[in-house]
Amino acid sequence: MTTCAMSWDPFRDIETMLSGLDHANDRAWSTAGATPGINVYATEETAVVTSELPGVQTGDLSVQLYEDVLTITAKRISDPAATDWLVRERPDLDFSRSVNLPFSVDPEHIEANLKDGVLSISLKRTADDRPRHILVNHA
Amino acid sequence: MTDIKKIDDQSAKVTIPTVTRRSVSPRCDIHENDTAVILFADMPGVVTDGVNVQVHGDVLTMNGRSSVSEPERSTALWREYATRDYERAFRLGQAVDADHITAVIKDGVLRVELPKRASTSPHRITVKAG
Repeated sequence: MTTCAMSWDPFRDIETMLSGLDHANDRAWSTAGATPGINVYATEETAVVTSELPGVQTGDLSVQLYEDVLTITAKRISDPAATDWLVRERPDLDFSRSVNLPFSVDPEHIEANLKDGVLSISLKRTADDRPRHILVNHA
Repeated sequence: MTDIKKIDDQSAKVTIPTVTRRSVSPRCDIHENDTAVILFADMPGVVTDGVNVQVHGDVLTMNGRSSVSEPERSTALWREYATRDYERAFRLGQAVDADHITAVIKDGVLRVELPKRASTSPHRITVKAG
């Protein structure tokens, strides 16, 4: 038997419930729903795809590119030795998400970094699929 | 430990660093064993310099400032999450030894270990044959 370190508070359940609602409201911008969100940024020459993956190790993460489809697969399992949970809000992750990039990228120039729980994938757009600036002549 | 949604008057003296970006409550796991209560909080993008854990009275507060910024001169084509800062407070029970709390952040997960006071750890009593 372990000693419960929580002081009893009759409002705790209500607070927990409200906290859940808070998270539900926040889900659109969530970092750690069962499927983490993805952001895609682009300049004329490059693209960066990011995702927040706190606690994910590089060995449990894979990034694949097939034509213009970038796929992120990741897993995060909580410590199986931990048993006496007082609060459990961080979901186990086991997901695969694909992004259909709206331009073609050079498969030889992709760099993926996982740092401080944030995945950042840098891609280089192919030269023939970049916006072209057209000089407007004064007639 | 009790989650504090709104810091009440009693703990109003707790200093929470001013954050300019939107702060959210990080998702937390808390579990306990015989000697400690262990808390994990998801704070992606937060490094050691950007995290602040403090105890004031019986209130534990955690703040994390994300070091992530959007790529320069880029346009966001698709955005499902915003970079946020993190802020959350818990009220500690009597069993926690607040003087020996340790915290470390790694891979965007803050881990706070709250040791229990020795007197609250369970003691096994040997039962002798009568």
